[in-house]
Amino acid sequence: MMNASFDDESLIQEFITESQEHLSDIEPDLLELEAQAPSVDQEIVNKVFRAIHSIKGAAGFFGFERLKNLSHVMESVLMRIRDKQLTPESYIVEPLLVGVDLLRDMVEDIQNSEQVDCEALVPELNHYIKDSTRYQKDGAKATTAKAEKASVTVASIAADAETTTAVTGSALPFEVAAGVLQQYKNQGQSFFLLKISAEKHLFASHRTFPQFVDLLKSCGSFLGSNVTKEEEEAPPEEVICLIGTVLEIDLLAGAFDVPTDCITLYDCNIQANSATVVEKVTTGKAKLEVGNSNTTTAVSKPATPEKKEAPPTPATAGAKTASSAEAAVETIRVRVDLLNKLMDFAGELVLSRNQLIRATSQENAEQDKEGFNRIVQSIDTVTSYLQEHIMQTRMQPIEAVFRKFPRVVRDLASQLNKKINLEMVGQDVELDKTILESLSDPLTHMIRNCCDHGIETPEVRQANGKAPQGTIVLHAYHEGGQINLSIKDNGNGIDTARVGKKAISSGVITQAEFDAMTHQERLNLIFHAGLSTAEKLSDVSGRGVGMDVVRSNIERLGGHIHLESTLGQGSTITLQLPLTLAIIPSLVVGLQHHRFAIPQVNLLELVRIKANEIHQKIERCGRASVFRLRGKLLPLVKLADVLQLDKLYIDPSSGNAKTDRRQSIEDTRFEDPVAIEQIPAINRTAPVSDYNILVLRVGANQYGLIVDEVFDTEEIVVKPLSSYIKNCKCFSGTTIMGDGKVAMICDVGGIVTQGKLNFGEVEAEESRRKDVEAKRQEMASLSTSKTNHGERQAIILFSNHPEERFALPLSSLLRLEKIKIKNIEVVGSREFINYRGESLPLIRLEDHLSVRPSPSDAETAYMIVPKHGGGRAGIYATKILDTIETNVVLDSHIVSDSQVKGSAIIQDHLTLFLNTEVLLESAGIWLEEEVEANPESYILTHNHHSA
Amino acid sequence: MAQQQFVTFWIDQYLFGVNILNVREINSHADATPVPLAREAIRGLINLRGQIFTLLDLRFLLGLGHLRLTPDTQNIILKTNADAGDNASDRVGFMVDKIGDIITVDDEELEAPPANTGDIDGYYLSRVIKLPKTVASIIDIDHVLMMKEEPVAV
Repeated sequence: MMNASFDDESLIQEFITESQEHLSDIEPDLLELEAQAPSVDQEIVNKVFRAIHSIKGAAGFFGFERLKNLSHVMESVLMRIRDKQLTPESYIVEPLLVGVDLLRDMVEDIQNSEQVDCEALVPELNHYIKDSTRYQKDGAKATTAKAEKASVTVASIAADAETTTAVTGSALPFEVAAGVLQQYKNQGQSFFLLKISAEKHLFASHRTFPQFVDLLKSCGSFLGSNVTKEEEEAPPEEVICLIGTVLEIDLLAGAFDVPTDCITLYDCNIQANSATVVEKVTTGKAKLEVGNSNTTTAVSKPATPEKKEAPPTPATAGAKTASSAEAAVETIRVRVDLLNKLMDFAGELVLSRNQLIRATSQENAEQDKEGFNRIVQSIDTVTSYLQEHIMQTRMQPIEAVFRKFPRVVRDLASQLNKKINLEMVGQDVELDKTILESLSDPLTHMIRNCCDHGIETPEVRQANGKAPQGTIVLHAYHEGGQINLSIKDNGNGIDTARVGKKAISSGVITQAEFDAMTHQERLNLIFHAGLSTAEKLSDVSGRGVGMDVVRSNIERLGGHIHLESTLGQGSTITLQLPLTLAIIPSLVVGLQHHRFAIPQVNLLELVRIKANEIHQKIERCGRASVFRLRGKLLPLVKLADVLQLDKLYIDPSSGNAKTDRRQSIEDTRFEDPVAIEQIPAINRTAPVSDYNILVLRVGANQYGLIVDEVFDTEEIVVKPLSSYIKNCKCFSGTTIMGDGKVAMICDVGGIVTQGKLNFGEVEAEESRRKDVEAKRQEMASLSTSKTNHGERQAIILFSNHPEERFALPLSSLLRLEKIKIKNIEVVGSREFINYRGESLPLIRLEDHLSVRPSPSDAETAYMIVPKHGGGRAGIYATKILDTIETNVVLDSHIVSDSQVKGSAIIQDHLTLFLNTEVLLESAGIWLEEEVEANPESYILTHNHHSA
Repeated sequence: MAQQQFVTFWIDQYLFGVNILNVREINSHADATPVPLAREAIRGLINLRGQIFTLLDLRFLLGLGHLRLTPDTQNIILKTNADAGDNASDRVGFMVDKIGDIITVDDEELEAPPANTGDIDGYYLSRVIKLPKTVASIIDIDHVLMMKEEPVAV
């Protein structure tokens, strides 16, 4: 620390980083101490003590008065805990924790640390220090004012070390004013006693005693010595000096060019009247080699006493303002082995580059394609390794975020009079630094929610037969290339009825909507903005701006949030997070001549609609176009519309881009219906006219994004968005493609906003359709025979005369065969067909029903062999139209032939449903027992009342 | 006598200048990626050695209509605060019709721009320099960079 000049702001920066680390370590330790009380783990106390001590020392060194004073009193309290004069009960740990918070505030904004108010805390802590006979003393100022001369005696305790072996003390052979000591002590200085040999340490190094004193003064305050004025030129063999300084023994030893064992730490506990000083002797940390005297003499010079005693000198003040600009620079700690690996990879990369240069410069590069491939391969490997490992440097254990939660839970529990136990699992799971940082707030919010809403008071819990202490489990784990984070509590769970009531009363949803919701949907209501279920507002939560923010934060990170809850048993919130944001897999899509990247995490599937099917598959719902994807309505939006690009389409016949005049997706490009007929058929079937739909996920909603082209998936490097285009909500970043051009990364959520997609509208339409469907089914089932409860049936549609349609249930068919007309043999009025070596009677519908005859010019036809009759007869059909699945409600009024069960409108045409049984009977085909054997073959629904 | 150097360039028939200390480099990177929905004055984004720069259409900012790409079109990439910090999102440059000479001018020769700047939006001018044949208007880089503060007209 002393290697650079004193007012070097990089030192201050380092101090801040170190102090922050210390502080974050202290907190859990204090909580641990509190939990252990009244027994005290010396190890932990010492750890905390050392941490606070080093903050104090450095703060004093840099002249941050408040910081130093506060840490000083905290240190004193800790010292009393260490000496077992205090037990770390809650009432003592509490102010210490507050102190840690204050210290953190000061450290974070070090330039304004003097403004932080610790007026209330210091006296409170001081109270615990004074509250003992041994440490009784008057206010420091009074003592200083009196400036009494007092003789000083010395006792000894080991300081700052695990070993508590006492070393015998001895009285100081000279007098020091207790007031002076107190004054320095208040400045946070420690006192050291130097016992040196005049021969060995002064004259051998060619320095006189006054010179040595000057040296001492340069590192702190020289307080006294056994050498009198007269003896200065010829000091006694054993020279004893007392100095006050904020530096450590190691540094002092180096600075003074004396062995560390010559320097001992004094802890002076000044008692105003008896005026004794208690000496604490340490054996000294033997860390530093004593012999490195040649390097250390020069080192101490910047630490001039003036600067320390009058901290905000212009010099330091200037340094402070300068360093505030640099405060934004963050540092990260990287494991050395990782760094070495990176270095290795870098070396390999250089080698590969050299090979590459050689390979390309060689004239026979053409022939040496083999070697070239090898180089490319090695570059490929090294690059992926590098990427992977550099990513690791950004990875930090999630513990960094978890660490603060014990404190949060503890504070909240005591504030809310609850007993809450926090368990944390998987602290070592690593996450990208940026994600980690933005995870802190949402997690804190959710933990708070658990404490406030989730866990009940001990009384309620006991009344419900639970243990009085609630438990929150925070669990982080890897799963499928993502990080999962679950927050589980065994509290009350979410009362969906209450959430619903609140949501209805605040107009978020209607009662009807609520009734139609699934349990999951009701739970998800808590993510709605402006919804709070807390009966009362509290400090902790209940303002209704919470979970929606949490959700949007998580989603901005590319994560998902999932909530499960059972009333009375607790809730689990699961977060799924990507490992990193810097390099993400994404799908590159093309739109006209633009390229865009869509993060793969948002992509569910790709759907292509053939150009000739667009009109059948895409429907309208309000203002939105929708596509029915496996029974769900998927709202569609064209990326070109959202981005307000001129609509272009590729004319398949010419290959040129033309302006698209269509208003909405399902419209045709031609306004004049006559013109449609004139479009060459190619337009409707050409692949370029197909629709590529990306099914994207935004939270719980899905939508389809129509793009022109779909390229490949690529790992893209995310670059931040220029501030000039931050306003475009559709983009989340930029990236550089393989060809060096820039491409925008689409923000899937932003497109929803920009495209004004209204999921509610689509959902409403969907539920309306569901209702209609349900009603239809209901009606169908009412009018269905007992063997058929209105299930959907597959039917085959066929025709003889082109304008007449017939139907049979598929399940009543045995076979469907294509036949050649010339194979039909006629015997009298009856026709037979040679089929598999048998003669099968062929039934023409027109012979038995009052329908028009089939055209006679056909060469081939179809034969439908029904199950009835055991496949001993076929029904003649000119054309098979379709097989569809539908619910049929038959009307038996229209056609009175008994061979027809009834009629229905199928695909906008009147369709006759045949009764094969009667048909075969009337055709003289003997049915035998099959009728009874296949009762389910009476498939069609029909009205009994007229049959 | 204090002197300053300016990189001059042409937009339309006008000569402009920008303090050389504000210029990071000049290049002719023509295929900027346009940004849909962005403001009209934003020409697009370019990749310059792995860094992404926003290109502004200075001609449009000055009220002289949209720039048309010609073989002479050049980009002046500016030095901004972004280069100091890691705030990489503010890297910016602008497109000009043609690059002129670098001129060295004494401080006294810099004059305040006239009140009537004609077709040109005076907001973006800070000074003018009288040259033998013409007048070079010095671009106020801060004002050009500030344009981002204005709301997007959608």
